[in-house]
Amino acid sequence: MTHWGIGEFGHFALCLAWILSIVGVIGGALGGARRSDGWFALSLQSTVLCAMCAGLSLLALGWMFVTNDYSNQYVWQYSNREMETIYKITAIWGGMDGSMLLWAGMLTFCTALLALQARHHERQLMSWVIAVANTSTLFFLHIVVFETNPFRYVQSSFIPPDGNGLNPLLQNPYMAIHPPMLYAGFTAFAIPFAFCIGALLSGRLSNEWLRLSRRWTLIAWGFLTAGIVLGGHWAYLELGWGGFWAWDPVENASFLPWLTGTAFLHSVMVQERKNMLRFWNVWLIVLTYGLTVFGTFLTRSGVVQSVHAFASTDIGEVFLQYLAAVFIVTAGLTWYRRLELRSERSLESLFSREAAFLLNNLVLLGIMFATLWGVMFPVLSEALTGQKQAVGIPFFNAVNVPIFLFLIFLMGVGPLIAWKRASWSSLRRAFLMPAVGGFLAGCALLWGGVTGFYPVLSYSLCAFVTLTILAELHRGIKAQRGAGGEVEPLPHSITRLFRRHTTRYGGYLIHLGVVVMTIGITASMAHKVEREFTLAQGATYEIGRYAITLTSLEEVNMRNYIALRARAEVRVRGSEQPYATLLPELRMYRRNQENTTEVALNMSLREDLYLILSGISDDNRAVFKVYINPLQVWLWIGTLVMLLGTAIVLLPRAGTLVARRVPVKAKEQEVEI
Amino acid sequence: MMFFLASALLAVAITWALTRAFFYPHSELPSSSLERNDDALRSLREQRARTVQMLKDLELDYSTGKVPQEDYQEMRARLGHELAQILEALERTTPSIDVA
Repeated sequence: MTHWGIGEFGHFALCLAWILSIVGVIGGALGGARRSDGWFALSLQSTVLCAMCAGLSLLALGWMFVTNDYSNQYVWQYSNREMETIYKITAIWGGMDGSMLLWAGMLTFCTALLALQARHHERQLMSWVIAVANTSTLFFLHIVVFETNPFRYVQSSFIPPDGNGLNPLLQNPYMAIHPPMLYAGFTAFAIPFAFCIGALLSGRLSNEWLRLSRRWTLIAWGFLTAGIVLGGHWAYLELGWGGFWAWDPVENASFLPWLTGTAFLHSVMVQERKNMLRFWNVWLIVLTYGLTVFGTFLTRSGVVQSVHAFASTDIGEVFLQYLAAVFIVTAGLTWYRRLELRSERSLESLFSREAAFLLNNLVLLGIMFATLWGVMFPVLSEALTGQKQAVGIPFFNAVNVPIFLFLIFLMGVGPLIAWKRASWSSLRRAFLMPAVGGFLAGCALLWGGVTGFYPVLSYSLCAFVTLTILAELHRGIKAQRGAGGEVEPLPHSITRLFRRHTTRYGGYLIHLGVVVMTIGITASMAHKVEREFTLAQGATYEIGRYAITLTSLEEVNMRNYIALRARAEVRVRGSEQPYATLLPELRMYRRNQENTTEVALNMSLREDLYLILSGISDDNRAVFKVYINPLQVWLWIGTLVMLLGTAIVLLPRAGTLVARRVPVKAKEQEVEI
Repeated sequence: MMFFLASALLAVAITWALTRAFFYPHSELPSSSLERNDDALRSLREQRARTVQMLKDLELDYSTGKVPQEDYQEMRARLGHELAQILEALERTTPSIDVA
């Protein structure tokens, strides 16, 4: 028997997972088509076992990293002995092969959770859903087993004593959580997609599939939001250019499904309430899933250049074939079920909540297509003219900023406008106060010296949306007090309102988070101050309200890098008290001889002071770059508010919780409403 | 050798689990009338909670002037009808446990 070590075990478990996903597809399809309990049970069992095997495979790879097993090519390529254990673990997703394994592993985990949920629901629908979810899993496992196997040996009989090391930019705590968050979002979107296609296959096109997949959609959206913003925070801290979003193709790849996912979350409300947009919703979730796959294709095929992209490979074609299959099958199914997918009603007025939601969807899709166009422009220009022409940040900002601002406006309009048809008097009643408030905020800003059309418009719209949310909260409390006939303290009223209407008020909180983010983004884009300067030891440079003094420059020897560290003391001008000490670094990683800059950041609610040590000049002075980013921290705070809102929406409703908890062993007695 | 044995054991355990699930599906799925009723009741109770929630939302929308009178009455009637059906189904499902 040849050597059979942990690598073989990991690969064997991976192959078993691949086989089990095939069993899951066949079992689910036959369970749905023949209404057979045996096949259904088989598909559920194989789905759970598939996740277990993929998990074992991931553990095996992780173990090889932690134990410095350089007989494995992937481990050799992405780690070395000097790396801290945490980065040896995060190196699992530092390269193409491991990241695909993590992706497939997380997908099998989501599918297994779905299988555990499925046994308590209607079997024909769930059989098909499990079959579709396993098809997704099968595709990704197929890629890992046959194209990007991370368990290959180094291509020589000699086992290297040390590895190549992980890219220094990825040796950052954010890299430990950003990719898994993003992958959790991407993979969880496969479940609502499976529900949608399962409903089309089984013909069960009532709103049941939306209800069952709603929680999955929200979880996926929450993870994707967190993943995208963590990526932005990583870029802000690690890439050293003073910004957080460069419209990089890989950043855009994660943003595209977020946009369509957001559109889907809004349009399902119209379907649930009015039985409209049924065809539209099917395509939105398929598009969202398709864009998660497309994002993987972009990152890994080498068609676009990016600091985040993995090495170019030839798996792009397989991804495109799979995407084509997904869209062809969906087109066939939606045509086959076209009569059942027809809406029960049509749009009665442009001044209605349905119309506002539809417009919101169109705007989100507009941003998606504009971004996609920008991402694909280099590829298209090369195909048509033979010359690769890229579009940069100015293109994306010029196109997307006005559309985004319109979206913010709609965010204020949507929750306040009436369903079906809004009368002029109701529109006036709902919007007069917020509109006047937004206008006055704009005037106050102009009077206060804020210039520029977009910043003033953006802040005014933020004021308008905040006032609409507050007005809505006020109306809700008033209605609740009217219904209860009692006057209770305001915090109690708000808590009760949130508990009774988690979806609605959690949603408003998400909107408030978007407003806070928008203020942070606008301020940091419009009022950023940026300077480059040199300083001799002991000298001081003044910028904005700060005075920066270079007190020392020292060489630091760490485990796997050498750094030149500057110590800069910061004072607020006019004050003798020290305000902050900043320690920017220039690092050189020994193993792969790569240089990086480590940003020194002083964050406050008012502004970020962001200092980079760029190098040493010929006359031995330290070269610095400094940014003052006003209100930057509000971008991150806004994200936390959004995630809090998502968590509130996800809270189980009181009645549902009772329904789940009460054991059913006796005659049903409680029918309280 | 240890990893080879672990691999073999894994393959055998999976084959056993799959065979058992296929030939004895009720070891995996809720099968007895009591268990099936548990699932049905859970699902009905969830539907009831959801419909009640939709009624609460509708009331709030109506009281804050976001649903016109005619629409409110129609939607309230529809949701009321759905709720009545769910409650009827709950009534029908519950006594069967006693029989089981």
